[in-house]
Amino acid sequence: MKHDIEEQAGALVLRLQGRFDAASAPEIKQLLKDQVGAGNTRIVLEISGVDFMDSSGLSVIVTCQRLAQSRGGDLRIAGAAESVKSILELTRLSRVFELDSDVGEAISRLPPKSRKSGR
Amino acid sequence: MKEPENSGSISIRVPARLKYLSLICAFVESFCKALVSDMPDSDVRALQLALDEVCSNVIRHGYGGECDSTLSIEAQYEERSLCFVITDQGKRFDIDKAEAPPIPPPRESGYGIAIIRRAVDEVEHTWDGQNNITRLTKYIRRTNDVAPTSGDKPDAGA
Repeated sequence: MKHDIEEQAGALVLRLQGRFDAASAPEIKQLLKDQVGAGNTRIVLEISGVDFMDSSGLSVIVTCQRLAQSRGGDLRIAGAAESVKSILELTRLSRVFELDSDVGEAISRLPPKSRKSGR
Repeated sequence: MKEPENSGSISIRVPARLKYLSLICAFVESFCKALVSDMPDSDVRALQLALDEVCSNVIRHGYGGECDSTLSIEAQYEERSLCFVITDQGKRFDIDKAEAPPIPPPRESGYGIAIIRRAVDEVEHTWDGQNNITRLTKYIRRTNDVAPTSGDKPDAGA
């Protein structure tokens, strides 16, 4: 899996491309945990380039979202394709997760910067 | 397009390494599209997910991690269903005893079993003394069918 990190409007935008599965999930999980640990708790996961996601990828999202939220921030998902939405439907998590159409929409829905969150 | 014979099978054997999950998914997609040309994309994706989850579990839990062992996948075509049989020599596993998390609230792990059960129509697991044999069956729907999908089933055992 390929990934790219950038800062946009005070948020961390992580763009993923490829398969988000058991093979790639550990690296992405560590990357996100390191970012949150460094104080970057307002995160957008842009996944329009993800063509397949399994429970390992889903687990990373849930874990890292909780971690960000515990630090006063949040992690939002932007650009999910049908192939990714299908796993959310199968796990009924589509009722729990709000999906944003693009990075701009996701950033607008992140909590405001605070002293507690770095971004 | 003329449909092929009423039954048949194709088998592959892959190393127990996570990088081959993409190959397994490609195999599933190719098999489905070759045998059922008008199979809904959602059903193909569901089968890919189910096979990915089973094989991922075999590698990570059955074999305790990536290793030089292998797992075999036999894709079977019947007139009304597609069936994938995954055979491995890992630790004995009973899918019926595996816990699937309640949803919601979201848990951080354990979604694989729920995905497998919801993605396909039938899940069977046996142990023959040496091999775990997991059989996933999906009834054939065609794009114009109006029958409900597996994903629309109420929570069954998950």
